[in-house]
Amino acid sequence: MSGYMCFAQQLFGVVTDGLNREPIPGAKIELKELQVATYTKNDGSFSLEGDWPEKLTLQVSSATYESKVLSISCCDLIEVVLYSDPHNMEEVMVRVERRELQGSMTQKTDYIELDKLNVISPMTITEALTQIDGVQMASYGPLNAKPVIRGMQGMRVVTFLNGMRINNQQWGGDHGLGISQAGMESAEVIKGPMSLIYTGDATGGLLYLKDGSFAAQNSYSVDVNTQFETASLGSQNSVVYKLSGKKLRMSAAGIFSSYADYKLPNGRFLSDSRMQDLGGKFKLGYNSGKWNFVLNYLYSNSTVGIPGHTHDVNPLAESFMVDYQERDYSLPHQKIENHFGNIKASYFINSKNKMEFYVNHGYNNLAEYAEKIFTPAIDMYLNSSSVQARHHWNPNKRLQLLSGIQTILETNDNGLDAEERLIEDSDQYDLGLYSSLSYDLKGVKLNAVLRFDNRSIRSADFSGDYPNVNAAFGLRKQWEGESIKDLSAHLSSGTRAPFLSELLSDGAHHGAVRYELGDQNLKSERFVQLDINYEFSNEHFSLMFNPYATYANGYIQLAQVDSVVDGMEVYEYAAKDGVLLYGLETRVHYHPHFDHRIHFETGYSNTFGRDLGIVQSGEDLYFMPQARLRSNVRIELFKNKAFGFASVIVQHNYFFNQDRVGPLETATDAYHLLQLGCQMKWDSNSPVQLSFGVRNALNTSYINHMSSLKSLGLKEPGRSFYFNLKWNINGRNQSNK
Amino acid sequence: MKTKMFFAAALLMASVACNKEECFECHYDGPNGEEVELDGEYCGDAAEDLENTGYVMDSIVYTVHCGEH
Repeated sequence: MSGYMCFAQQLFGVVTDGLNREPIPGAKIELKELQVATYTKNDGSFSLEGDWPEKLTLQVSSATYESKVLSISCCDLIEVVLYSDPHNMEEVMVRVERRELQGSMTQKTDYIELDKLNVISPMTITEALTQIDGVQMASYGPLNAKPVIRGMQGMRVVTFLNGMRINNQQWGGDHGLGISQAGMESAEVIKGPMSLIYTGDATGGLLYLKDGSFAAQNSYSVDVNTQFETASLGSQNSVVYKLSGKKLRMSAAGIFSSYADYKLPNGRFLSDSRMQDLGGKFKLGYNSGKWNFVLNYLYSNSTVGIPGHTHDVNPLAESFMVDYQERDYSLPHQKIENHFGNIKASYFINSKNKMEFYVNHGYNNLAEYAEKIFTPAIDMYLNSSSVQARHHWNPNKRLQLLSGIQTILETNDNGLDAEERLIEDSDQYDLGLYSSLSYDLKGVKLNAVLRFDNRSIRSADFSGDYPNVNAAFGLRKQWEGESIKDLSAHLSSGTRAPFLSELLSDGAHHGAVRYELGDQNLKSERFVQLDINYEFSNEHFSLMFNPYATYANGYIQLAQVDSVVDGMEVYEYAAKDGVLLYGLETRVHYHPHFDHRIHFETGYSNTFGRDLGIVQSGEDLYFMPQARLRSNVRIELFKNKAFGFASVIVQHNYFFNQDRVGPLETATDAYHLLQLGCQMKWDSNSPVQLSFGVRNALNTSYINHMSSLKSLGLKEPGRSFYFNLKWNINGRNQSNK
Repeated sequence: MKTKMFFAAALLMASVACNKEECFECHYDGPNGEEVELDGEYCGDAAEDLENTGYVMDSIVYTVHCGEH
């Protein structure tokens, strides 16, 4: 049971277990909108000092308990019961209330706590996201990858970082996500076009990343994280310093990663599959009365090798393999520099109205060096400035209206020294207006969203305007008793204007190993998705069953044609009407009554994409991922000991063969991947966490169907051992100002 | 608090501001398309100038490539 009181400008209370009435120490108490937090003491008590708005959202969370989100009005007294929830330990959680994404309590959201995904330690955010059913990765090497959500990738998957839309040349097959996982707290994924209050063109899905939260009030903390893995002798290191006073909070992070060429299952190394990354982050928060400000800044500078680079017409896979492992960059490689900064201001007008303002700017430079070390073959500069205002109106507990306006000005420029231009210099201006209405009708949650967008594209040889209207409707019903049942359905549309690369491309993509040709006559592609989700859970068992179908017109497909330019296969962008994408995501979690520490989890996901043949002859779509069956056995050990094995996990992935491919696309064989992980914890005032294990434990030789290296017959990394060390130092500020 | 914030920001800036001059072996594309190694290593601006202007021999300018391919 938890109770708290707000006395003058102080919140204080106590958190206790709902079953045995014992206090819960170490529970996190966070004022979500202000990012102000504290932790309960050994007696379960907590206090927060400040100058607060009238109404706030308080989140209470503790590792093995359910999370509670409470709407509080200063200075009510509220009592809450926290019960143990074994499903809260799952590494991927669905529709948890702690998410950052706003707008609808009906839409399904998959949520990963990146800073706690350590049992099988991922190398990149994209690899971490593949723990989610229906999410795989498109890559050219394990370090340069981006997410594929229900078969969609690139410009169809929109990424937000701390509320800012990230544009970093994700249209290119050889351009990765470009954001380090160091210091990142969580990732949330909405699949398909259901995220209309953020954008109308996330026809594949939306990825929302959130940096780590601030230190607890009047406290400091230092987080040291280092990770090493053997396949590429790679290390990833970060130090995050956090300091919080009563009103002012900050955090700063330094990040360094270095990977050599990775080892293939045959014992040789893939030349130029190396990467170096240097970065930093800074975050500042301030609240006073009705205002709250958060400033975020991220810098990264990466050098990424381009494996599989050749000018030969029919290269052999062996020609890219070497017997030695190198780390220093050589030709060809990419240099990627990012600066992302944004300010979010929240103004709490009264208990029913709140305004949010965002001002964002992003800078991305992607330079590709192919033949010369100083003169780039490609040198692209992308500047993106955006502003957004959003109004929340909550007249009562059952009704919520959220409306907003956003604009983005984006400029693409080519460097003067660049030898090639993949896309012309251009400007793009977006304007979006949206409104989302949520209503609780006798326990049935309803949500309707309407959105208007206009995109204007201007370049020397092209200009186009793409106005679009989209809508979504969702409903959700929960039944709570000894078991919980949850049923939701969403019908939503998404419309994406063609990107410049799809309109104007005419050049070689060395990383993606293909020559791409655009089409100036392309129109906006329109998707309509029906998504139905059913969940059941009780003390020992949970089930998720999520079928979906998406119908698309004007679907812009990159398809291979029977031609070769500069030794590369030619791919053309072309529109298709009458395209159907459909599939299923399902997951079962069981832990037996005789031992709650053992967990069995199995998840299956697939996506099929086909041109139905309404307009022209039917055929399967290109670049559809393999179906996947994932099974975990996880054992939590010595849970209450200060030191010992915390958990052990065995994960088996079976990727089904993919023979439903585009006309000139090659099929991919099925394969098994086995991963083992182990985690040890030392709980103290400065807790230490050590994870170690092995990826691809059977040294399986396999090709990912979504890999750009597939056409060259190049395999993914072989067996790789890893370890990860996390050390947290924290304490109270001496001054307590 | 402010002092600690200043030092944290300074530490962050220093960690990303490090830049050192790099050296490379260079070669030019000979008259028959063969790669001809140039003696020694070329560093920083000298390497950049050489790659941009090319290598001149018998009044003929040959394209230069620096760094490992």
